[in-house]
Amino acid sequence: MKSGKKKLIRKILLGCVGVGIFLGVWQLLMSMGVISERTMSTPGQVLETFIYKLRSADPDGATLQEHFLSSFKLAMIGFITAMVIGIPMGLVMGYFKAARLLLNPMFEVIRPIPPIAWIPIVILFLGIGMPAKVFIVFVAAFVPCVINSYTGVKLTNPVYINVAKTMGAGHFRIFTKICIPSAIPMVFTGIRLSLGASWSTLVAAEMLASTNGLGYMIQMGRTIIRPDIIVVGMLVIGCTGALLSFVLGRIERHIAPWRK
Amino acid sequence: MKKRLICALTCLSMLILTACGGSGSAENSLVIGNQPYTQGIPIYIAEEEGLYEGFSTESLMFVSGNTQNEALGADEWEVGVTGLPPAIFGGVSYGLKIIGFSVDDTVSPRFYVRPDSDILTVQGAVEGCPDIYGDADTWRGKQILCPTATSSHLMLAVVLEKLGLSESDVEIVHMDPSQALTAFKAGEGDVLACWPPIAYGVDEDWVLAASGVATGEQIPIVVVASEKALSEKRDTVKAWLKQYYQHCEEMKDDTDKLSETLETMEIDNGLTVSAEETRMIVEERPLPTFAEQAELFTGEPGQTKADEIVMKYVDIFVQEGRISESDKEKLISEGFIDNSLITELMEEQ
Amino acid sequence: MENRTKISISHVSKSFEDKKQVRHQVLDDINIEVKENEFLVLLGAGKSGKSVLLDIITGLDTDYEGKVEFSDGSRSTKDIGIVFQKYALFPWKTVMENVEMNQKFRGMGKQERKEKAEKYLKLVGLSGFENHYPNQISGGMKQRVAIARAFAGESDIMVMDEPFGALDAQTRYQMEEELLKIWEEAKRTVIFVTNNIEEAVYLGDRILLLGGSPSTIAKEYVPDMERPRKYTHPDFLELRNRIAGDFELVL
Repeated sequence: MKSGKKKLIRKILLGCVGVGIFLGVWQLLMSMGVISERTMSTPGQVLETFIYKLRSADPDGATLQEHFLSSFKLAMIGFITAMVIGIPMGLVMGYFKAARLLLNPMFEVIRPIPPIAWIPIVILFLGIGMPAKVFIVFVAAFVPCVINSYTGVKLTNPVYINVAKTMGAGHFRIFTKICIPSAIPMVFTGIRLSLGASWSTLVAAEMLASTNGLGYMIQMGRTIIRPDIIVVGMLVIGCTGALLSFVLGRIERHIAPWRK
Repeated sequence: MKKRLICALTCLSMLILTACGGSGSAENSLVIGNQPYTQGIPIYIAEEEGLYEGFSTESLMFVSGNTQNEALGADEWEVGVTGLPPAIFGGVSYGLKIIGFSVDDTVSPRFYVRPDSDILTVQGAVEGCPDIYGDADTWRGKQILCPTATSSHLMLAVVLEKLGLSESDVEIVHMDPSQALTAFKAGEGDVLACWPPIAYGVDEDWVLAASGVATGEQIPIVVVASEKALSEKRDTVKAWLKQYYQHCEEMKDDTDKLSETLETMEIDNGLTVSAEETRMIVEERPLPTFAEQAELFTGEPGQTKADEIVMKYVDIFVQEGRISESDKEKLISEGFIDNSLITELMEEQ
Repeated sequence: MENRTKISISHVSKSFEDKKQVRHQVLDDINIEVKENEFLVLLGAGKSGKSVLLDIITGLDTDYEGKVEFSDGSRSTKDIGIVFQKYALFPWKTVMENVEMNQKFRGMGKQERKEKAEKYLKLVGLSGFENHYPNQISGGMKQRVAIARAFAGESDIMVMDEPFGALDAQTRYQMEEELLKIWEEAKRTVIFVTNNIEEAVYLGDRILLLGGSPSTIAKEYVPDMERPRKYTHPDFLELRNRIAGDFELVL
């Protein structure tokens, strides 16, 4: 399709132009001295440091890949655990009153607590290794999973439920065959939010204790006054987040083609 | 109408300019970057009791060296006291200069192990350091809870060096110090790095496997001044430096006053500490004297005792890759350790 | 035409309590004898309780006074084919899967299900659209799938709740024609609900006017015309106008 391809090219082009303008302004402000080179790095320096970090463990103790893998592992385990526990929990709470009455009070109390606040307790019960940090990520990531799955089921069109009843479906079948498929678009929204939360909470999780990781790298960058390291860390986190979101969108389109 | 408008605007802008001009830029004023620890007590009291003569001051309190450096980057303070690691990073990135030493911080870094640690099976392996337990084999592979790029971390590097190990032989876990204490109590980690007052919370049966004192080396808190302040108002900086040591000597023995002031300072800045703890702290960490500075800073620039002490730690940072070799050269060539003020004050006496 | 009663609805009344615990009566003493294989139209304006009555007849609502009896014993909801307003197709299933749904729930075998579904899709003229998703087909097509789905259940009673209400006039005329064609081919008892007088006259063997507050069966009409009926025929117009007049009165 010619027009489809044209649209895609236009999309990519505009995106690149946008990024280009941003970089250009950044560089300009620094060249003009509006932003001092003492406190910030130019795009060029950031690129240089990025490439340098791919090869070298200086000055923060590990290469960029090592930091990235460590953080990625942490975020992904937290994220997947959140989905595995949060989604079924939300779905069940949405349909079965007993489940909701049982779990909701606890959930509502846990929900507003910021992940960082968990750190002292988590250290006592889970130590300072991976499980502890994964828990922090989990706490942030499972809330959107639960809420969105719950809402998805609650918003099931009652007409669909009636249709199922007219076909002789009992409670359990209505739940599995009607409510759950109907909730899928909202579940995916929850997953998307959860992914974002996992990825942005990993910096807080690494504050618990770390020997490497992108959050750790940024903290180090701050202590030794290397704004270029800080920016590299931020950019890697940002770009990875965007990429993961994109991949998730593709997966969703494949699993739920009926979603507009 | 127009005339009046212009007049009003001019008056307004003049007002704004003078207000902005304020304490930061006038010759006879200084902004001090202070810390709510022992080294900051004389500054705090001087401000409270109006003891400074010949210039006006304004002070900002910084609980962490990181924030203090960020403020330095924004030119928000001109002289102050800080730990050696932030001073070194400030020196590399912002041209900060060390103009004197303050409190001797060597007593602070402490490394504890639990009574069943195998490190305790060996003693005296390090020549001349009888209070360092363990040897290369027992320390190798240990998990050490220690915030990175701090004075404790530097001391740890010294300990490891004495044991014949490098950082890559151990696992250093970067943690918030009070959380590290809690974690160590919960059984995490093999070695805990901490300092007072956190160190006063250690379990009775833990053993001090190494410490700053045990290494026989010295690590100071330093008095610093920004490049800008030194070039634009050198005399004022010098006057402040002189009075800082004067105040230190005057208050040195008044343990009650020091300890109460420290308690107030810490609590006002959100740190939890008790009266007994501040008392122990001021007793352990006496204020500096000018005579000490005279000894440390005599000699050719770059070849004083102070240079020797500081550069040792600069070298450790270079070794760890935190700063580069060229950063070190820059520090040396730009006179990171500036003994000129102390030298002049000595001559004026 | 068969004269046996298929469904006997006697003295059905329904009321409900609102938030302020005030009782509102919706239906009052409804009595209908639905004949086997007749095309019965329930005509009424918007809030005349038509849907409420349907829910009672189909068993989706069990909280009412009176009796609904079926000639061949008791009947559960699943044995009545229902076409809802607004299609009610499951958006996550293809056209084929939607039509099969009925039998799937009853445990019919895969092959048999497929054949039945194809048969009814053909009947409504949608062969070739099996693998489309509901959001890929037009409103009229969606409603045809809904009809196919209801018919695929092969129940002998069909209930349709304003199935063409959301379609444009052109499509509606088409659908009315097609529905009659399907009904002629696969004869069943149909209860058809609408608020459109022309549609009622075009389709029904019998028309019951529902109105008043609370709703009752206000009037009964029997269009004495051969099918297919002509909208412009004088008899058609006469009946239509008569009903329109009564319609006004019961609003």
